[in-house]
Formats: sequence, C-alpha cells, structure tokens
Amino acid sequence: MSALRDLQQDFMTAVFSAKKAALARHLVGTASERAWRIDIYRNNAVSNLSSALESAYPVIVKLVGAEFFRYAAQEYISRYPSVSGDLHVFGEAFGAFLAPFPPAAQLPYLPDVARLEWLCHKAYFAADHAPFALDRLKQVAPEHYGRLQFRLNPACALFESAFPVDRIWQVNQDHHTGDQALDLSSGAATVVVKREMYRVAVNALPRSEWCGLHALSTGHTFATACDVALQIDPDLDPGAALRRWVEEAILVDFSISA
Amino acid sequence: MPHHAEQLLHPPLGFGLGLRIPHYEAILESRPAVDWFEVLSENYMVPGGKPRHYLDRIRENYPIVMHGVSLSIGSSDPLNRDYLKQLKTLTDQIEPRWISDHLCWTGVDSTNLHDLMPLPYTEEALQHVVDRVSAVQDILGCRLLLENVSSYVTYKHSEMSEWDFLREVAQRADSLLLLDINNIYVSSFNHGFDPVEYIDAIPVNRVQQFHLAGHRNQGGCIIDTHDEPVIDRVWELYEHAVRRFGAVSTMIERDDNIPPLEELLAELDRARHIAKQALTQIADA
Ligand SMILES: [Fe+2]
Repeated sequence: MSALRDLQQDFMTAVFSAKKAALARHLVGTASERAWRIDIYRNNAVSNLSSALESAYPVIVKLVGAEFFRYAAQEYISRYPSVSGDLHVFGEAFGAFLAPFPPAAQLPYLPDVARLEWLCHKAYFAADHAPFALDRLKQVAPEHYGRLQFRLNPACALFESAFPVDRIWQVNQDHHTGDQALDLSSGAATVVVKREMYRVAVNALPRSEWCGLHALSTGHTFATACDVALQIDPDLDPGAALRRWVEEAILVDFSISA
Repeated sequence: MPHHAEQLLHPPLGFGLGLRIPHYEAILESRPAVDWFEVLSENYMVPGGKPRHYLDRIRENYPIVMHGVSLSIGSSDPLNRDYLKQLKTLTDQIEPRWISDHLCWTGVDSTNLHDLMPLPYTEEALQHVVDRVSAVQDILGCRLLLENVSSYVTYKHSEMSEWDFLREVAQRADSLLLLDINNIYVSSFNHGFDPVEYIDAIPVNRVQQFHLAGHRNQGGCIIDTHDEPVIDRVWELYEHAVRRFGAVSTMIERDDNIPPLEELLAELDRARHIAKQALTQIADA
C-alpha cells in the first residue's frame, strides 16, 4: 500500500470512528495538540454533512428540534457515509434510517415526513419541462383516447402515507400563515409534490385521482388509469381530472401506445 | 522584449464575487458593478431548477468562472470519471473562462468527507497529483487552476514546504494557480510559517486568480469559515501579492453568514482600491 493511501485511510478512520491513534502517528505536535487538530477535521466533516441533511430535511428539524436532529444526523453520517462527491444526493436514506431508530419511535409519522421531504429536495433540482397545450390533445382521434400514455413532470412526485404528511409538511413551512391545526389521527394522505416557479409545494389529491395519476406515472394507459380511478370514485369525471393535471403541469407530455 | 515567454494566463477579468443563491434576484435587478462571478460547479451539476435558471440569466451579463470542491485531485482512489464527465458537460454548457478546484483530497475508499484535507508534501504525493492533473486537463481540454487550502495539521513525513509543493505541481503538470490569500494567512498562523515567504515563492506566470475571505480565530487556531469580512492582515498580504503578481482577477468568497450584496460590493471596492494603489506605486517606481 502506498504511504499516501495509508495516511488517507488513517485520516478517514480518525474522522469517522474517533480512533485518532493511527492518524496521530503521522502528525507533528504534542499529543494533546494533535488530538484537537484532528478534532477540527472531525467537526468540519460532521458539520458539513449535518448541514446538508438539515437543508434537505427542514420539517424534520422543526419536528424533533435542532439538538435531537444533530444527534440523529451524527448517527446517520456514521452509518450511511457519503459515497458521492455530489452533496445533493447525500441523505436519501434518512427516512429509512429513522424508521427503526429507537429514539424516534414516539413519532411514527417521522419516516414518512422524511421520505416526503426527500421527494421535495429532488423536485427542487429536477429537470425543467415545459407544459403542453391542451389543444394538442384535441388532435387525437377519439378512438385512440384509451391508448394515451402520459409523462409525469420530472419535477413532480406522487407519495402516499398512512399519516397526514401533507398537513404536517404545510404547517411546518416557514412561510405558512394559515391554519396551524393539525389532527394526527386524520388518517392517510395521497399527495403530489410539485414545483411552481421554483418553489416546491405539497398538495393533497383525492385518492381516486392520485391512483389514476399513479397508474399513468408507471406507464399504464389512460384507459387503465380511468378504471383504477373510477373503481375508487364512480362519480369522478376522468376528462375533467385529466384537464386539471395538464393545466397544472403535473402531466407534461403524451404519446399513443402501439 | 525579445524572448517572450509563452503566455500561460487568460486575460484578467477584474474584480468578482462568488455567486450565492440569496443574491440571485438582486444581481438581476440591480446589475451590480461586479466584473465577473465565480460559481460552485457542484451546485449546478443538477438536471434543472432555480440555480440553473438564474445562472443562465446571470451569465448573459457577466463572465463566469467555475470553482469545484469535489475533484479530490490528491485522493489515492482512482479519478472519479463520472464526476469528470459531469464537469465536462457543465463546462460545455456554461462556457466558463476557466475552471478551478483545490490542491487537496476529499475522501478515500469511495467515502466522501466533503471537506478539503491537506496532502503530505512528499515526492510520492507530488508525482501522484501531477499525473492526475495532467489526466484531468486532457479530459477538460484546458489548464486547471489549483487552489491552496487552509489546513490544521502538519504531517511528519512531509519532505518540502507547502509552497514548494504547490509550485512543483503547477510547473510539472503545466497547470495554473488560484492563490487564496486568506488560506495562506490561516495556514501560516496554524503552522507558524511566514506568509510573505510563501507568496514570494510562487511563480508569477502561473497565478490566474486570487480568493479573499474571512475566518474565525479560535485563539490557538484559525478555522477557515468564510463567514466574516476579510481581516486587515489579509488585506496587507493581498497588497503584497498584487505587487508581486500584478493585476490578477480577484474575488471575495463568502459561503456562510451571507450579508446583503451591498456589503460584499463594499468589500470588493476595498480590493479595487488596494490593487489600484499598489499597481500605481509600481508604475511610478
Ligand atoms: Fe478559497
């Protein structure tokens, strides 16, 4: 092994596991001086990665408080080290990490709120896509309607939870001024994450519409999506729903399947 | 002059700022008198959204240079080809005047610390870095600027000074330098060397850009935090650097505790003023 590689591995051990001896033997200075100098790197790394998590998970920070978040972040950092040079993708597994995290067991909705926040984080940086004009659909012959397939906006995501995550998310936004009331027993939520003028929003959708959109987003035809949605709500007007999804740029393109 | 050395440097751009998200709107609205902006490459290596939208508009009015933090040129891991591919793609889209990163390593065994760790100044590390800089320059199709980092540890087995290492990398790999005057000061304080000796050892024909920034003095040690104004001692070193290197593109780097744009513009004016005075005095001498 090269001396450089040896040194770098000892450095990583000192930063991640607090075992400083291996790195300390490479350094100039008294024992205590070497220890606090190593700590600077340890603190820098933890604080860089924690800030990345904080900026991806602002609602979780509010829900658990800064101090608990810092503790959870430190645990997460040592269990899920950053494997990409791209800090934007660090933190993806935070929801999965929180699910079995004993100190968070009191807040059963926390993992889903984290999963939702990750979708918001990704939506913020997602590709831009122009909406399409409804008129384009008028050129489709009616006999082809059933075979229409639609493309979900790359800056949109669909999410469902057994908890009212949309309300939890909304009342914990900095700019939220409306009703603060939050009924945690209000049950399941089906939501769409959207980006409007570079600001990410989370909106609830009726379950029927959400399931129809979900079918479309996984490549099913409009006919299948209608079946799925109408099974849940026979009164739904699929044509009107489709118009809304296009006008709100949730769907941004279509094709006719063979 | 009869024997004109090959001109390595791009024409200087003047006085710039690091482009930061809180200033996007103010820049587009007020078109401040900033000569150029430096962008953090990684912030724009994303498919779309707000940062890309604003950068595309700002670059219509200002020259852009790209500054990266994830190249990890000194790592003993293989070069990250995916990262280089993304960097190259971004370069083709943004058309920066030049591209820089740091003379450091940021991780090993595929784990990233997202921090800038110093290299041991050994012949082994030097050769390793030179080979990698050459490979990166081949991929990017241009000379890379390497920036000196602030550091908090000194390795026992270093065989040369930081400035000798920096100079050797630039000369052997035929690359350029981004001198961070604050980082020189921070490291000189932390390790007890003379910052002027450092500056005077750097070859004049390879310095393309200066960084100026603030830091936190914690008594025994200075932490390079980029969250405070530039201190007087760093301004003095800047003046010394201008006397040595001439009109080098200069910018203020602020990454945390980001003040309103006007405050940074005032700091940039101070840089302009100091550089102008230093250059006038040289011309008069
Ligand atoms: Fe810098």
